[in-house]
Amino acid sequence: MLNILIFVCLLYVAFLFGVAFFAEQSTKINRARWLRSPWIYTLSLSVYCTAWTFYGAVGYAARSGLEYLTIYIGPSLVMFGWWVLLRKLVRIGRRNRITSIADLISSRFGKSNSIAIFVTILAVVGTTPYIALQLQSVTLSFQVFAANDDLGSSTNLADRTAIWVASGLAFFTILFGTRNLDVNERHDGVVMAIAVEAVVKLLALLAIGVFVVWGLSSGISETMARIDASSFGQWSVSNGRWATLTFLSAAAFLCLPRMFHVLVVENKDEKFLQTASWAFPLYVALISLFVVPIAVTGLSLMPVGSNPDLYVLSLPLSQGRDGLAVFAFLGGFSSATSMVIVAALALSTMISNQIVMPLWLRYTGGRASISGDVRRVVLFARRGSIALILFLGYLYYDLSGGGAALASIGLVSFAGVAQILPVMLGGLFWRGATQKGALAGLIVGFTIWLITLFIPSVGLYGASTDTILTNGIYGVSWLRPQALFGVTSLDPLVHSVFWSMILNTATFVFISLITLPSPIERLQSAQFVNVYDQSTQAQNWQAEAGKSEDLMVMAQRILGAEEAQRLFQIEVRKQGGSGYLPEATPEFLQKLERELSGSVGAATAHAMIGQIVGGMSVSVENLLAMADETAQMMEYSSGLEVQSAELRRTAGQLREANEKLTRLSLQKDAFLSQISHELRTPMTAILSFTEILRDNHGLSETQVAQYAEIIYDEAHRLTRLLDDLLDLSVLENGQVRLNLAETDIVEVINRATHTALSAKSGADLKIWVKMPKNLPRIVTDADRLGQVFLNLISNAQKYCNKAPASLRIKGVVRGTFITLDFIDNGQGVPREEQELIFEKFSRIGQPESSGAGLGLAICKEIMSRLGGDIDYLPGQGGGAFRVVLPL
Amino acid sequence: MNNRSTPTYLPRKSYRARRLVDAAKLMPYLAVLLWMLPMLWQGEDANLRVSRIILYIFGVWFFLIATQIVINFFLNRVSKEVELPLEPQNKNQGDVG
Repeated sequence: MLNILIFVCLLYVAFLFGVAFFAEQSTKINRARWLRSPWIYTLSLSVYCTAWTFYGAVGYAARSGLEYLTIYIGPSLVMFGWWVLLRKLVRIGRRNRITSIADLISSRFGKSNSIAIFVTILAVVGTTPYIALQLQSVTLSFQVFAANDDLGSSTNLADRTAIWVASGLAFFTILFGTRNLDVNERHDGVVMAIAVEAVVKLLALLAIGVFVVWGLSSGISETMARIDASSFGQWSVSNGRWATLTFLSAAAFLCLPRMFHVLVVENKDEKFLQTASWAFPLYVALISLFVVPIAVTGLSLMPVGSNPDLYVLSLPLSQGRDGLAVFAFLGGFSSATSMVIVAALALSTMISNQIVMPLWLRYTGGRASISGDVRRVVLFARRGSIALILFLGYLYYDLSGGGAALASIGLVSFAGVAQILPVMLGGLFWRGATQKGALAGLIVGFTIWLITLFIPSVGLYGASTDTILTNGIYGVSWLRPQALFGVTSLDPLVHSVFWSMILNTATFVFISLITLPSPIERLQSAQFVNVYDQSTQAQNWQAEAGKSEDLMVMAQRILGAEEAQRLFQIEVRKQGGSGYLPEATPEFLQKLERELSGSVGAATAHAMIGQIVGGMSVSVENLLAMADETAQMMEYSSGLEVQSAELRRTAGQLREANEKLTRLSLQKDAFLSQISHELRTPMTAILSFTEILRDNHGLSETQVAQYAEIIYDEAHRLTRLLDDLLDLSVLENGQVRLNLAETDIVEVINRATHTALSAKSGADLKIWVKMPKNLPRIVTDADRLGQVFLNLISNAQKYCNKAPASLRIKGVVRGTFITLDFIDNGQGVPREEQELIFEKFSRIGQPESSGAGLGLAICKEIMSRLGGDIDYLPGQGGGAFRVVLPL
Repeated sequence: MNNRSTPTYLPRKSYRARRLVDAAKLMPYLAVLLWMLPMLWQGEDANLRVSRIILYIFGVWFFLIATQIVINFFLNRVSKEVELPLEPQNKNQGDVG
């Protein structure tokens, strides 16, 4: 039986891997429309239902009656109130690219790092025991089957199970959670696997329920009668606990790191909330529907002393329904694994973004734009954190002995993360909430929770637990952990939640009232509280000319070259330019910061941009957002500012155009004199040597041959120059006829390389070609394309002044295009020349170099005829050109 | 009432939209009210059966779910025609129908 179970379990795990893999692949090839469904979103929310609710709810009901319902009523309340709270939360999360709950809090309170670290620690402390609980549940459920097999419940088996489960989960999470650094921090594979697990656990519990009601009883009425006859036939829930637990589970639903992750971070569309607003309550209602019947039947059928937490398994086993029991086991297994996976993912994002990255930034000397790929650091930090979190969970499980102490940890954990709630709600709805207030409130709440609930429940006071509980900390009687300020009549949990929430909120509000927020905090508060007001844009970066290239280098290291270039290119288009470097306008800087914060968190992204750009400015718009009392007064002047800014922008553009025209005109003049010179020099030579040949008859044979050779060479040079000019004018007038044929690009490159290297004038140049495999043949004009490549390569030969000079040619297929980057190791093209090099007659640097400056202009024309493009690619550490070709 | 001869269908739609949003906002309060009600029953009637309470709580659950579906249905329909009010204090939109 146990072997079959392990086999089924492995099969199931393999199936989940398959599902996750399939979902990731679908997203990659953009066929993932079905992944963007409100149903997947709703099902993913079910990570709320862990093994603690799957197995534990029945045990909970068997011990304390209907109280277990509060655990599901709380989240239902939150979902029914989606319009008021969740909608705003998700809108803020999506607008600010929030990556975790710590990121949200830090972002709201001035992108402060200290508060983020505190929330992260709180989350880790609150979640680790909870992960241990999941490990325990899987272990226990294995033991049930082992006991059924008469293998006994050896601790050896338990230890091995826990270790295997922990490492398997770490592996899965690392594989699908940190495969790449997604700019939106979304993980389709993980979400899909969780959705499948949600279905499995629901069906499993329903199957057991149906079996109990219609298999072991004769139907609903008999079950109801049995419930009334059983030991909890009376309504015996204490009012305090009923209200407190409902509040607690509602708070936890919002604040648990894993819930925040699926609710906000993985949300793909705000509209999904609307469906989830009734579908998720339906899901939890169905989950809790059969809990009481199962508990009552278990109490009456199972031997006294058997663990009610495991009725879901032991009940079908005792009736000889092994298949059903295995199904139930898979349900429990799903509940445990999905919780651990998402929790580990959410916590690792927090740890890497809020703790590791800031430290790394500080210790690498501060400058964000030097050496190394940041993404590798981030990914490494995440993988490390996932392993660490699961190890901590296992360690906790091992140290606590996996005993009953763990069972109560679910609510303790809820109460811990609920400490974030006042700060979160305050941040969302109250402009006056300040960072100092938030930090103070969190510290107070967390401390009270530690003293009154966490430490007593996990027994960390050790041997002196009883003394401390009865006499108070240091013998101070009003500091008795379960009777603070002499209030003795409360249930320990209610007591802790009551005092921690009251004092947390009070401190938060009081300190907020007496402290002043920093300017950036005020901006953020306006952004958060007035998120529906589209006009509130925090444009707080000062525009800085000439920093674009630095920004590009940094963005490439965090977002990856491709994504960064795409982002910059879109912005360039929007600003009406071409190439890859947009102006660093405040709007663009803000957008870039948001993109970066999707990868490394708000605080880090802010710091990194700050290092490059330096100054922040406050515009009238910002002031307006900060002080809406005087809004109307300022609206007029803001309107003026907008207008004058627009005028300034237009004037700037005109000035730029003018400058460009002047430069072009100068160039043209220069070219005319150049071309006359170019034409004149060979002409003079031809004329004078022809004259010599005509007038002097006594010349020797060799002399005649020599002069004829010179005349021939000069005439040839003239022809070449005229050919180039003609070529360009033909291309420009669109009279060119292309010889389109199926072509192998690699072959064209090889030919161009060969030609360039065999030319006698070619300096020593090392060329590395890296092309994707299985490149399809494309229909293009091979000769023209070869001309472009040859031009780029010989440019590198001419202008690359490093020794040894090298040129990398790298091809990448991007959707329906292929890009070819030609990157040399020379000094590159200076910023101010970059936009001129594709103009006719432009020559960079040394005027003595051969050619009339037509090569790149011809290339540009050819590429646009071929339906592609060529551009200068800045920020590559050398001269770099990108050729884009349609596939 | 509006006595001027303005087209009545447009304002009426946005009026409906605002009331629907009101309903959506009231949902959590209704849910709290209904679910916290059992606290009043304690000790009042010794014969109160747990099965009845279970029926009540799940009845509330399914009632709220059904209500939410209905509200969402009309919200979707209305939002195709008029823009939904986003914030409670939207000064530009009075309640004149």
